[in-house]
Amino acid sequence: MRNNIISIILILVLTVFSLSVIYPKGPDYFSREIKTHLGLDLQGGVQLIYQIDTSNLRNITPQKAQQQTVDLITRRVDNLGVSEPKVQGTKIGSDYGVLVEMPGIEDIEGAKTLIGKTAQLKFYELSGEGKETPTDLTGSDVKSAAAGTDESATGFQSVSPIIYLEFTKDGTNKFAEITKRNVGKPLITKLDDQTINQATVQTQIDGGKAQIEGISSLKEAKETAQLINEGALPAPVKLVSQNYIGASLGRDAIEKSLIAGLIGLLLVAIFMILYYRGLGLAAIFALLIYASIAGALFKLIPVTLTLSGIAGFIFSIGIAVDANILVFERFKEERQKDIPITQALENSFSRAWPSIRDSNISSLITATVLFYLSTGTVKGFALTLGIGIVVSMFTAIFVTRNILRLVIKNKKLAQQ
Amino acid sequence: MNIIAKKNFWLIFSASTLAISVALIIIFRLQFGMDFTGGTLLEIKTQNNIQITQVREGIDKFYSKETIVQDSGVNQFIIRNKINSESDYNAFQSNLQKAFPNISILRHESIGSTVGSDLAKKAIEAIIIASILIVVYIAYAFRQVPRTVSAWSFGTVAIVTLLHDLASSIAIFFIVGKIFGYEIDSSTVVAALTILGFSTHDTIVVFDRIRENVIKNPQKSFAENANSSINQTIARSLNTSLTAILVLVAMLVLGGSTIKPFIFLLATGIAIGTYSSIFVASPLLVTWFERQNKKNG
Repeated sequence: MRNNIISIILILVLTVFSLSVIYPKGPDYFSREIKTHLGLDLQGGVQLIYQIDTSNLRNITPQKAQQQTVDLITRRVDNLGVSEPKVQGTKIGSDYGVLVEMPGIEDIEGAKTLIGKTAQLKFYELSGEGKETPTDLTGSDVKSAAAGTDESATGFQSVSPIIYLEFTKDGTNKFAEITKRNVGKPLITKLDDQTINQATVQTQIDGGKAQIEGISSLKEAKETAQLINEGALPAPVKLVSQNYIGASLGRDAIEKSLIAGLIGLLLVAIFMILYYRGLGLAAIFALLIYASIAGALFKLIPVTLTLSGIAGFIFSIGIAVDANILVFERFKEERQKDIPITQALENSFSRAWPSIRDSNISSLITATVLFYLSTGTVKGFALTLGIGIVVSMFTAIFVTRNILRLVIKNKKLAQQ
Repeated sequence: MNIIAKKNFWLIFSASTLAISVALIIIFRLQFGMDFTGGTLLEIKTQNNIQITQVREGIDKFYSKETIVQDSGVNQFIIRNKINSESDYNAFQSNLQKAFPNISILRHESIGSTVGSDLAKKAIEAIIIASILIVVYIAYAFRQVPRTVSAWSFGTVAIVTLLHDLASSIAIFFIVGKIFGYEIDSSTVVAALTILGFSTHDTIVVFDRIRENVIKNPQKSFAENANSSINQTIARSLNTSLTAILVLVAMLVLGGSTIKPFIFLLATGIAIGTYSSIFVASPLLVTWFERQNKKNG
């Protein structure tokens, strides 16, 4: 009896705590905001997967190149002002790639051009035969780049955007050397193998400063300066997969699947109460506690909710109901024997346990394998399913059992 | 109900449906969707009233290769084709917007072919590894059964039943998919893996009862024990499937169009899983047991 009361108190505390976590504005228990994370399919946004071309890497391993690419793209995405972006390394078959997720972004084309740029700045001189040959001066010799407009432009001339470059000490020496041997000859500036400027060298430049003219817009000049400042990607990247979901479609998906899930659960509740009467009522009560604990866990971990994640969760509810059905069918059998009702209750739980344990462990094996071997939608499904199975074993056995113990004892007291 | 007495009938019946399913899958070859082969999907909404045939004709004018157009709501269409490079896609999109100036793009997915084949490989890997682990776990969980029954037979039969469930439900999904234009994509893989979990779940509940009865009533024959186990668990099997299918039907009717193929496959798999836990798994186990005992004299 005392054990039963302690258990009931424990269940109540856990439920109240879970409900307070689920409550829309989540409390500040761990000095961080607790909120529901929605996946791109529910919130709208874009997912891009880039493949890194590791065929011409110089001096670094593919892993290192991937890390650098992730870091650089993270900075580029941050500059776009996307809230809660995700940039992470990924494998595409045996190749290295980067996965970028940007929720709620509007200008996808703009984002794509900015993220996918290698931003490799190179300076070319003309060889004796008039052929373009690269110099040893590159974007990595630039200390800082800034965008501006040509202040000397006057009158009818349109204001032309300019990128001001300041070289490092090393770069200053290289630039001085290049300008010295090319006086009166052209110097060509290329970004990602596209000529952005060609100018004739007037005199040797020792000050370590240069400017690139001929940029078409100030916006482009600013973006290019930013890219040069952050540095070039160690290798070119290629967009191999993109997935865009409009925000309205995501909202629609949430509403529809929530309503469908709720109606489905209501049907299950009606069935359980009609078929198992009082027992069914206890099971539904345990199920509500189950849903609140699982919901709280999703927020605390935090699990990013996607459509397939919701499917996994709803499926785990089915598993929770199954555990109760197993026990109740046992209870019916035990009641046919000539034993007290309390004994029948304890027997039905202990006899149904091996089935519940074995079947849930095999489902848990599937969920674990899926979680470790898969990506994206499958992973989300496996995660919510796995959490659901563990929590459902707890509620179906511990919670339902204690509720029923309490009810049966009180009934007996009332009869006396 | 004596199911074991008619076990040969049930086994032959199930074997024939399985054979038909496998034959269907092999003859017509499963149509793998863009998640596996690479390709493009666009979901668009038009502001003015437009017929699906107009969308098809409009696209035919600038894109000659195979394109599938489907309704996905009021003035809302899903367009699918095999475009898998960024520049081709950009050209397609700008042509589409030129042909239909009033459309808005609700969803767009482009997948390169390397990304796709990777997904298929991982899914198959997951199914194989999960199956092996489940056989090992079941053999372990059933290690206490009397020595006349091999613990491995439980695990192996569970996996055979599981393969039956997977093949049959995929065949049904495939036939229905032909009508409604369902594709095999990554959510199909999720559904298949869920069926895998559910099927073993169901089979284990019956086997568990067999284990209990064999230990409790050693004087009865294995077939008798198996048959009473089926009858003792049948209410549970039907009730559990019923609750699961209630939720799934609600989602099938009310849920968004994107998850319909997924939910349909799940519901099919669960129904077949319940059937097989009663009519395939135990009859097969009894047959295995009787052959084994004949051999051992």
